[in-house]
Amino acid sequence: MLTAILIILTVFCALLAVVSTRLLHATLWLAATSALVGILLYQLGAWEIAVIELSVGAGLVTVLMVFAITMIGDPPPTPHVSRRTLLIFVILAMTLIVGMTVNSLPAPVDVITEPLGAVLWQVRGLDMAAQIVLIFAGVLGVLGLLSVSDDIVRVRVNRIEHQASTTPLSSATHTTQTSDAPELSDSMQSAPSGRLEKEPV
Amino acid sequence: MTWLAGLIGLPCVTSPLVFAFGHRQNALQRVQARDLALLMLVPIWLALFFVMRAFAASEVLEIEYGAISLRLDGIGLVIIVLAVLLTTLVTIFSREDLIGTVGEEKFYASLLLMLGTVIGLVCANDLFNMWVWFEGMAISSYLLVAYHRQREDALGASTKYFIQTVSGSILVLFGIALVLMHNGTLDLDEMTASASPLLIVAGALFVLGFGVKLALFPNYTWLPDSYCEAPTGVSALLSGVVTMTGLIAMMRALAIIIVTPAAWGGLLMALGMINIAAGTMLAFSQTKVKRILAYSSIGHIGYVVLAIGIGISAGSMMGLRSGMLHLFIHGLMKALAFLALGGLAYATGCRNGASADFTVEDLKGLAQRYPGVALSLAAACLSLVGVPPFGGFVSKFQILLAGVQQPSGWIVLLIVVAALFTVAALAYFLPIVNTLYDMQPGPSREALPNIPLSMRLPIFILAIALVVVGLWPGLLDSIIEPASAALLTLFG
Amino acid sequence: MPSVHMLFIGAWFVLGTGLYGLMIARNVLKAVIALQIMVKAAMLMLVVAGAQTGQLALGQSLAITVIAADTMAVVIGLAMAVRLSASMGTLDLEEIIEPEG
Repeated sequence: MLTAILIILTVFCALLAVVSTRLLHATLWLAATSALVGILLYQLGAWEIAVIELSVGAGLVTVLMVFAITMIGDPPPTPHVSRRTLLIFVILAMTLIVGMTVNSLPAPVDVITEPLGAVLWQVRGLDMAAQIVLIFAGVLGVLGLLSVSDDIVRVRVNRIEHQASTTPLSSATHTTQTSDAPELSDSMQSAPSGRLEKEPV
Repeated sequence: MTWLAGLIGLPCVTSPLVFAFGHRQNALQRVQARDLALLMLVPIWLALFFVMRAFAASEVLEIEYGAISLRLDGIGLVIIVLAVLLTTLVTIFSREDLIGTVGEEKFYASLLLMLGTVIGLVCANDLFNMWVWFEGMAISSYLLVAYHRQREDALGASTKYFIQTVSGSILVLFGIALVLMHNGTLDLDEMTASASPLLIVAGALFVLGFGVKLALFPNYTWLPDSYCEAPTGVSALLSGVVTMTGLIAMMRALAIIIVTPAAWGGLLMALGMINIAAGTMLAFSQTKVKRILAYSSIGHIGYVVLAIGIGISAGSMMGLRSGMLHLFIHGLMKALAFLALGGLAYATGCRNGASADFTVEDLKGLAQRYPGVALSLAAACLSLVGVPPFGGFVSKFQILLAGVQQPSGWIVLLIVVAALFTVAALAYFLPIVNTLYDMQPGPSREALPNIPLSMRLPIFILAIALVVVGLWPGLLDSIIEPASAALLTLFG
Repeated sequence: MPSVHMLFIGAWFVLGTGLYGLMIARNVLKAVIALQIMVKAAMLMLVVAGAQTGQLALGQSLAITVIAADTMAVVIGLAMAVRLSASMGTLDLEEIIEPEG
């Protein structure tokens, strides 16, 4: 009974997270969903993952989201898009799939308690190896995406380029145009601006 | 076995090195990331050579640790050869293409990581382990797609790519959970297929989820934007290797689920056919060359899926074989088309991602100034249409042949329609070739700088490979045959 | 009804909620939140599958990997959102992803 109530609460929180108009509210509802999922996992006997879900899912991700929202600045509430037919369709589809599959669940097997650490590092060791690669890829991606560069200047240069010419041929002429602009000339020198200057006229 | 570990491990281990030592602000730095990355590819080629030798001697190449094993089979080898080859060529090509951009070391490090995860993925013999590699491949590709991040369009395209890819891989994960629920194991060898609804739903999730990476209908909308906005070399890699890796992952996941090959093969054939139609129809109205190539990729994915669908539904070796052959040759010719285009765009001054806006009109008369590269681009376009004597003709012809041999009238009808779409592809590739060789007086091209050797080299290597493969298709048998045999055992 | 069945049904509905959120999302961050909800559902299903087949430790081990992978994806998504709002001043998906041809 408790499980049923918790599940209904989880779905409710998830729904609020996706329909709320303020980003900050949505983030908090997401954290609540995460916490409820953590409690459900605890109920299931998966204590270790429940702790991780609470700390990473409900904690770290929420902090990151709030951090990003502060960096972006509090955006105006997104206009509420209500798609009732879509919601009803999704509910119907899920009910249909659940109805199809729930009776074909295999008979439960008694849980063999194994130490999680051994399973994690020995039985699924190659998963961990792949996961390390994945984390490094993620770090690279974030560093690359956020790398502080002169991108604002570059965006301007690009726009000027775009306006100055639609044909790529006239790049030599508009190089002089852009370097005339006072706020750009300084950063154009520090910014590695490709080989624009070297091109023959 | 050691060599296989080297082949998977080397790209993943060398990638941090490229990142650490290729950094611009590094005090010790005397090497550029682009040189370092190229240097790191040498041991990878060495490992590939020894792996191929061991594979030819039919040794079992397997790494086993705990419950998971990574094993090389014929299907994996095709992708690995293609991935290592194209990554090397793209690394050479991008030297000049990306000069002056910020974060080169991250670009090359991500490129190596993507290679490593692709190799790991095609070797994984465990459903969940395959997902982890798959996710790693996706994560290392986001930066590559968004590399020209000063362009708003590039950021928009990569956001679209990100959202669709992540949702796809979550659906796959859900499917994996259902398979685990039904089978109690994740090892691909120990799975038993049955007609349980649980597995049917899981199969549908796999088709949907892997279909995102594969740009299979209806999840192909990310592809044109991403291919257009990514650096040219990355577009070549994505269309040649990464999407096809999604196909391999889907095949492996579906193989343990299918009990009614006719139904699943039929589904794949239908999806492939829709892809062919959508790719061809949407390419008509495009003016930007990269976009045309991107839409043609959607169509070519359709041909591969159609061929494999025929192979699965009828247990036809010919269908599977032609699908694998087209997968390989498509990788070569699409990479050639992208790189040759990138070279021409670079020479005409489209840098820093501006090659995305390169239109067919901009190609006007370039054949006089750059005869070699223009000829390569024309060859790639004609090969993509399927004109002899290029590689594309051989594989497309074999797909059509495999379909016509089937007794079912529906398949023959599908094949006739596919052949018609092949002819229709002429309508958007011919203008490219025509404009290239347009002798009308246009803007003067004499003052344009030469295309650097580091760009011409990969282009010419691919162009020669394409003609050689077109004239002597038998040369590829040594890697295509084991692959199609392995696919047949998967679905047999 | 055993609790595993309830959790199975619950996971499907959480997934459905996430999918619905993804379809109506007009903001990049809202899309990331919807994706997060879908991941929660998949993770729950993995652990449920592990519990049902008597391998709870296996299910948990998979879920840990999923959490790590998913956190990386979230971080990338947030980085993209920050870049987007810095250069475009908007996170509206319909403005960012203008349909072309």
